[in-house]
Amino acid sequence: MLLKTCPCLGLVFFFLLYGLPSEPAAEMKSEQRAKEIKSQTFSLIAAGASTLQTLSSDFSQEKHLSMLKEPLISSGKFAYEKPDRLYWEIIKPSPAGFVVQGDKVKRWSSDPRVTETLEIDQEPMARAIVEQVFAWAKADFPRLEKRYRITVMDETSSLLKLIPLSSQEKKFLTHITIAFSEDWTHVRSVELHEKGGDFTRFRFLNTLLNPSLPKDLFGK
Amino acid sequence: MASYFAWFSRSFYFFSQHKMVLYAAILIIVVLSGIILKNIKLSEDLQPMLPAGQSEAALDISLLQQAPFMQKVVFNLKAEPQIDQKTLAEAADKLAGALTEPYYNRVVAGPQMPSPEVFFPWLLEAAPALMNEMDLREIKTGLHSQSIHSKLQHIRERLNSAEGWAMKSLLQEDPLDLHRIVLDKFRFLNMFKGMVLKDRHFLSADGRNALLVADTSLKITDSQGARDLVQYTQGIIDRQTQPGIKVSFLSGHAYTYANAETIKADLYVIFSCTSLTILVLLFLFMQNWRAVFVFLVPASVVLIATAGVLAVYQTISAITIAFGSVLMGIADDYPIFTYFSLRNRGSYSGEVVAEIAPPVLFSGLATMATFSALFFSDLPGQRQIAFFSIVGIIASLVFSLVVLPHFIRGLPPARYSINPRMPAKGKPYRVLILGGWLLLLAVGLWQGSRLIFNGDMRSINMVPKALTETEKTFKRTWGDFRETAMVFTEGRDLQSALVNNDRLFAYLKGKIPDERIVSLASLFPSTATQEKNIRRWETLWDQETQNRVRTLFIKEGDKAGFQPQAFGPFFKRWAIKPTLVTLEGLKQAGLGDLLDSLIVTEGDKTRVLTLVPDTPQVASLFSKNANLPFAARFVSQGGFNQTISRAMIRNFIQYIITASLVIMVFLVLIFRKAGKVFCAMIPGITGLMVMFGVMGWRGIEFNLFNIIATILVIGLSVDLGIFMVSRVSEGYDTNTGLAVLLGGLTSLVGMGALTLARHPALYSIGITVLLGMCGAIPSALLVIPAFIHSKKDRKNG
Repeated sequence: MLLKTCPCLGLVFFFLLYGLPSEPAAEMKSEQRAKEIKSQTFSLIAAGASTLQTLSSDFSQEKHLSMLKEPLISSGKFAYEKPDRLYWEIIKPSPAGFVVQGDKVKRWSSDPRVTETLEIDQEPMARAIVEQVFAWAKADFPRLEKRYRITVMDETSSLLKLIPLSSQEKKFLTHITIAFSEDWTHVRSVELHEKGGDFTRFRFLNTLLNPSLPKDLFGK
Repeated sequence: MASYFAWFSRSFYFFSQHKMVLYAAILIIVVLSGIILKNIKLSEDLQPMLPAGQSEAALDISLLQQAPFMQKVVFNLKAEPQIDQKTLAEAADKLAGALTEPYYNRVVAGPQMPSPEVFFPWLLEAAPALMNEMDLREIKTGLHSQSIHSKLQHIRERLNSAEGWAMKSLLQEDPLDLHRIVLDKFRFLNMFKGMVLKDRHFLSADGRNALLVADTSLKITDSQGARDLVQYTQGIIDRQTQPGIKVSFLSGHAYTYANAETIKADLYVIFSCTSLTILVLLFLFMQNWRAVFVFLVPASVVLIATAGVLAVYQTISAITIAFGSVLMGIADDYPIFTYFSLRNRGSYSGEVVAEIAPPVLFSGLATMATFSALFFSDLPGQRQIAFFSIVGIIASLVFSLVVLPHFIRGLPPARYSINPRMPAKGKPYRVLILGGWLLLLAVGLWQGSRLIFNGDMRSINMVPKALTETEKTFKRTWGDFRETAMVFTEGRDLQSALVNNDRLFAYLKGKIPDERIVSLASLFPSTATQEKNIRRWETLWDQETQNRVRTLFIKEGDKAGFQPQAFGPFFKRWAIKPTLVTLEGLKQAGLGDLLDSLIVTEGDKTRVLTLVPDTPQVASLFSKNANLPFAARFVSQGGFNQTISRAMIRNFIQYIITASLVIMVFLVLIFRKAGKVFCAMIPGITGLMVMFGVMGWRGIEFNLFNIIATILVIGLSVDLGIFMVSRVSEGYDTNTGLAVLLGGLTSLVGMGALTLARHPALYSIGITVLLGMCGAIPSALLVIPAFIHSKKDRKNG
């Protein structure tokens, strides 16, 4: 109760329990501990990824922008098939989407039957999503750690924080948070935090692991 | 006059007693020539054949050299279907990285554009200075609630789209999309019509081709440098290119290299054939080992003439050297006449040499006089050929009359007689010959009137098949960026040139489709125009308009779900004092290369280029009748060809008249009778008529090199004419028939060898002179005797 009414007290207890962070020995211990936790987390994610062949999910996207009174909300469907196939469809408010197969992207707006084929590098948004999804699905941590400083925020809520390392990405993003399912088998939500406080949140709902996907899903 | 020729008699006796002096003199000449030739600098390009000096054509040439890409090397990387765009772009980067110093200073695979966060704000800063009256009118019409409402809806959609993330701050700063109006002005700077920019790479619209543009400090006229550059480039391409990507490149250097290699190979063929055939002919006709001394005269004459040119010009054109085979054919006429005259007389005295000197000297002087007409040419190459030929002929005359007699003393008579039978003196035979000759002249005149003059230098350039294919590929993929016309506006400084450029742009708009104009005027107008634009901008965004638009945005924004402060950065922009677009600012915006290509500073003059299609319709916009209210000069390859063609016709008529007058004077001095003068001109007239007739009949175009051919035909034909008239009427018993035949044959060989050349310029000279001589030789041997005898018949009868 006390902790609920005064959250700062929690911090006081924390320091009481673990000592002051400025103490070098304690700092080293905490760093060591963080490494262990990260390593365990990566192992769990890798274990989940190894059994993953296909995945399907609904998603919602919320853009919280200081320019707008209300967040911009859109929703759609998402599917993945190992190793390099991705389906991303926005259903509301305006239909649009793209399908990725290797380096090729087919995108559409309004009418899914009318598609445009592009190289993945020509579609930055698709590239950003694909890079994230493929890297996590393949548990390609070396690649991810080249681009981000990854920390496990909270073991119990399966939350990771990624801070960009490249100066280019730093211009736009302060950090990314990724929330996994409790068993670390799939992502529940992703938040992209921009400079100035704006952020975009993707929530993945009704996620199915290894479902059978329609044959022509990636052939659109 | 005889006392002048007595000099040859005295020199003969002097050297007879001082043979060592003669040998030493020959040795000194040979050694000196050798020393000069040791540092021979051969120039294989056709530059010397282009007009120089202060003429219109010369100015056009210097301006054509300033065309963008003229000095650059452009690469095309073509991807096979299995190669994706990313791999193609990587291959372009890899190749660009491999092309290094000392051959390449800089290679770019894409525009040097700054990052979007620098570029977009620059567009907004430049907007007040660059937007013209029409742009502002367009903005003004959109400043009402309905238009702003729809713009805000569109902004919401964009914010929710993939691009929204990166565009957010721009949308806040520029909700009216003003930057697009400025961005649209970049279309006037697209030199490659088939090009799109993808990931900072120059790619074709279908994404299957990538373009590289390379700077080199090697001049396209430097044939050695061009050879090294082409070989280095080809080596890099062979090593660096991965399977599935085909690389080709285009530059002036490739043409220089192709021309240089072809001319060099041609020189070997021409000289080998000429030397060998002339030697064989000399042995065949002279039937004595001392024919070799006769051969040594033209052979050494070529060396001396080359050394003479090098001593005066420091460098010699390969075309001039190739002309050496023709010179051999001309220069051997004099030793041949000397040889036969001395052998025929059987005595070797100074008096005999003095006796044979007049026809030899007159013939040589007449040929020299003909060549001297080329000294009045605008083309340095033609002047060099004139100098080369005259030095050669002088050397040949000296060798023939001063040196050769000492080496051919005591010649036995020929074992077998090779002497052409002259036409029978029967009247019907002569009528037949003269009638046939007149018919030939008439046909020649008729067909010759159809002759076409072509001033296009490209038609006489060696362009290998592979290079033609590359040209086609580039044109298909990237448009005709190497073939556009240029309009130069000039000023004493950049600003005055830009003022004229603004006027030119205004003049062209509406007359030529926008997408066919490449001009700086849209993005870099003069300060005066920019200040005018800023004044209009400030009038548009007066306080009242600012308040009205701010209110509209807040009101409509509220309806569309925007916060009141959402477009604060846009409102703040109004308070910023507009600034002028500067050269430095444009360079920072990534336009450095373009500015360097389109602004040329030369001495105290600055020129600004505008590129337009090279069509007669566009050319007519700049004709003298156009009465332009500003100074502009239109230069194009097509226009240049016309200028050259006109200059060529003018020069050609000038040469014909000059050469004919000089020859007439000579012939009058020699023969002093109108009939004989006319007879001596028969081979020249016939040669030219046959040459022009066949060219007109077969559609062979008359080019710059055919002027030389014409001079040659006149010169050689006059030689033949003088000898034949001398033989038939003057009583010089010099075994002339045989000498004329042999001299004519060796001349034919010298010129005929040029027809073996692969290089179009050399081939063109060879084929046309051959045609001319095919008319001149038979007319000298048949028509002159027939004419003179007919005249005698009339006198007697």
